[in-house]
Amino acid sequence: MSASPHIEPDPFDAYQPPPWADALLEGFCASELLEDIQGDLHELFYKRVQRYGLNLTWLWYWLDVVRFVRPYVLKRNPDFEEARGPIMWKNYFKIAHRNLTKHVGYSVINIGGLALGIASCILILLYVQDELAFDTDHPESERIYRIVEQRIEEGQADRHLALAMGPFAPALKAEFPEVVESVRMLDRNSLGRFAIQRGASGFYEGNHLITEPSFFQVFHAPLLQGNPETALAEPNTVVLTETTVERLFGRENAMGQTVETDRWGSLQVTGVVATPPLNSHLQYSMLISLGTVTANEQISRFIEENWNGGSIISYIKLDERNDAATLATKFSDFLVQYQDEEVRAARSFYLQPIHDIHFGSQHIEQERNASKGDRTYLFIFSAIALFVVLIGCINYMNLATARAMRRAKEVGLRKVIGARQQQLIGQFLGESILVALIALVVALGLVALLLQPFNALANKAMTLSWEAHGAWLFSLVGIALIVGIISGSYPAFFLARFRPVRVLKGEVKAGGGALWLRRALVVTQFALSIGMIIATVVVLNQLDYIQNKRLGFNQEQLVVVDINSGASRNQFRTIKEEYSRLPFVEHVSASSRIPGEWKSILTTNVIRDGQEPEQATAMHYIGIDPDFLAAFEIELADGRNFSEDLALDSTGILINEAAARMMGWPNAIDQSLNILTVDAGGRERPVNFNANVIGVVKDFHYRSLHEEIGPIILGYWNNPIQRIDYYTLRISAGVPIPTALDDIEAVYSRFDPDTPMEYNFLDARLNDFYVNEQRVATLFSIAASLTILIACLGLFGLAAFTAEQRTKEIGVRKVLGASVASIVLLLSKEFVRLVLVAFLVATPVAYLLMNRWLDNFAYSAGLGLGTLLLAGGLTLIVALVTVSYQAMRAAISDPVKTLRYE
Amino acid sequence: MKGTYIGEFEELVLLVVCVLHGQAYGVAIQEEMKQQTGRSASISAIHAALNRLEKKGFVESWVGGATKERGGRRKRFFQATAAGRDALRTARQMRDQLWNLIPDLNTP
Repeated sequence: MSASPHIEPDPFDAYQPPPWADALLEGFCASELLEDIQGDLHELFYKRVQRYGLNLTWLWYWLDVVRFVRPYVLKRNPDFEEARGPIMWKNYFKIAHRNLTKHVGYSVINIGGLALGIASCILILLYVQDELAFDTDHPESERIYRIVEQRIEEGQADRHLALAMGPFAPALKAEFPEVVESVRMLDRNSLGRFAIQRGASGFYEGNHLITEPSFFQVFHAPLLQGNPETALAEPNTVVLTETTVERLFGRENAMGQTVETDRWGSLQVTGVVATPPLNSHLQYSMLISLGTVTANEQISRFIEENWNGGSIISYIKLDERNDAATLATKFSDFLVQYQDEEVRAARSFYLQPIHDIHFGSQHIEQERNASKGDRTYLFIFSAIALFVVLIGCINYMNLATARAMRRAKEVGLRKVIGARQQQLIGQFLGESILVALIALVVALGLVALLLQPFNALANKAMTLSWEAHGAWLFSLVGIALIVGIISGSYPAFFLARFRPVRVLKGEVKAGGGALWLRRALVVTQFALSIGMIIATVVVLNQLDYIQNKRLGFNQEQLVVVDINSGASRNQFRTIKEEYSRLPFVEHVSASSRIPGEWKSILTTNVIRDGQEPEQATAMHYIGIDPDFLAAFEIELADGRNFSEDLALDSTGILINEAAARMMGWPNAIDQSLNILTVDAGGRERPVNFNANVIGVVKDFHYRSLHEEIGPIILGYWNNPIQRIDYYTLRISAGVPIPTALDDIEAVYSRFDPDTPMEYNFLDARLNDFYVNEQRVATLFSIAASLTILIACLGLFGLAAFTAEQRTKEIGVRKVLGASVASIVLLLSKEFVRLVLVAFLVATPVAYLLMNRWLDNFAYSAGLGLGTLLLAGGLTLIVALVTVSYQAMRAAISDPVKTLRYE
Repeated sequence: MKGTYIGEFEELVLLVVCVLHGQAYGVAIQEEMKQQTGRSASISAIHAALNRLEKKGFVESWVGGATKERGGRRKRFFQATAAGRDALRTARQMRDQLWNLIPDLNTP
């Protein structure tokens, strides 16, 4: 009797019972029962899958397996281990090696992807380690604290200032036995900059510290020459850092020599100290002895006797008990005898551990802190490292699983010969670990190569050395192991499950099994890539917006020259005239500050008629001359500019639109207000200046675009509020800069021969506001390129594999008349769909996160649909190019050859 | 009655084993039971019951017949032993006796 011609679709090729469930069963089931229980389960699976579909049956299978957990089923003794020794390993190794070298392309892709991932991980770990190790070189650094003042302000949040009264720190050391050492310092914020000269080399120094001998007791500052006990003991002595020695003395010996300064005369070099490492918050170029400045009666009194002021940087070191909390509580009682009542009421002090300074000083102003760290960047970088490693692992998993079927015959044969499941799993896991270790070696090479550029990017000076990083070797091998295990786990389990009979009969279809997992992995990779690209585009966009935004004034072609002496300041009318005589100078203006100021802009407190002092509003202040508006090309909205006729304008001021709005004046002209006080160095200096408004200027960005435009008063330079500090020259376009500068310097030195000229180009300085963002932009660009590179590597491998799988199909299609284009389309379709899904997944998340970042800026370019589409489009194109290469190769192949292939 | 007692489910399984007459293995027993009595039992319950029956000596088993669906795994067939058949008869007798003693249930 002939069988019916009805051909049943063979279910075994499409579906398999869940491998993890089977693994579980084999894990707990006794071996003598396993065969028929599992047989029954599989039989039921195939029967049910036809009636009920895959998902339900899948679930049912799991259920059934779990229900088999009964006492009688469980293994009594663990299955005895077969002899596994080194003999088998030789074979495994040989096979692994053969596998790697036979398919070099795939191996390179695999190893390359993993190596990139591990390398990024290492670099970022180095960075994080460096950041976290700030200020750890100081001996017993956990006992060193900085004194921080918390000041209560009317109507605003408390302010934190890293300054204290002069006599405070030493008094603490004298009165409290738990304080073993104290040190105070002054820097340019208290006493300003000074000119230093030695022979032909001279410059302005602003990075100095004026401090006492106990500096060497508290901080790690090894003296290469000189005695730490005596180096800073005498007045007019200075200790230079190595870098400064090179600047001033070249190769000469500096010790014992003298340098000239404009403020304190000659200083003798009593020591040379190592330049402070980059991971210390305290950076300095030289240490000047405190005695040098206390020679001045007034300053000496301020530092040693004034308990109500407070502008000295102070640190103390505690004893082994290290009880900062208790000590801090004793402060207020201690200060009763020294401080005025009202000062004490508004101020309290606490101790900030030195390790906390780098990350924990966001809320502190007036501090000397070389590089404020931000924990969020640490998280961002760590997240990026994780991304990249993850993508590398995913690649490996995907590729290995897809190509698993090639090894099917090997697995089948091994099982027939008697290999147990565990052995096979061990073999394949071992292989992936081997690959991971190779990738580790490659990664180390990559790291050595990339360390310098990375240092430049991250503004650090990290090195790889045995002492520092020898211990890392173990963790690195550990990381490689973990990566190997993670990547290899799925393929290993998958491979080890092959049934020998089916395999050897040739019934196992290559490429089958858990297609959804591979798809999910590709989607994840591309989602991450798209996310990174969106982030990068947003950051780059914002930077571009910032750099091109109309600021309300013209920042180009402006040279700003500092005023550094009384002579320069007093003869300003003559000086202005001399400058404007230069043919390329279009305008000259003198002002106390400039828009985009890098020093602090003065804050004043003003009231208008009818208001009480308590109702004072804070406004910024810049003192200008009548040429200011023209030089900067700022527009008047209402009223008029200052005129040279001093008598008329001695009490006149200009305000900006924001100020007019704040005062509630629709028509601000001729309104008057009183400038009550001026904030100066933490104190309020009473001014009581009555002014009337003669004009309103259009709002302009006088600070970075991080901040909103606040109210600002432009006062006449002759007002007693702030002296002029800069000359700004607008020079014509097209003038060669070096000659222009020489001419300007010639004028300068005619009036101020003693001091070197300091100048800046305003547009360059404005960029400095955004250094952080520029760095983020570069970092994101790199990360985005990395992620998409690795994702494409993986896609490349997968596409190659898929194309290979379908060679017969393609051959048949070509014979039937399909064009090359249609075949390329056919092969690419699936991948394109995956990328689209990735796009849908990544976009909302990226949108939310980047909007949050943009909130940092008061003025932002926003995140539009265009950006999202750009990112998605870019990724799609890259993916298409990757896939189409393989697709093309397959499509062009000769059908005769492919169909002959058995 | 000598020997151990037989549980209700076990009895059911044993009966189906007899019905299947030499062709009884896990999946077949499950299907037959469902077909004849409408009772759906999980495969694990059936296996457990068979295990108990075998321990009590009411069935014996042998291995044979691998198929593709099972991935090449062989089946375990079960058949009632003499003791098993005895146990069934005893159980039936016992029940009949009790039934006869109940007046109401005798009437149709």
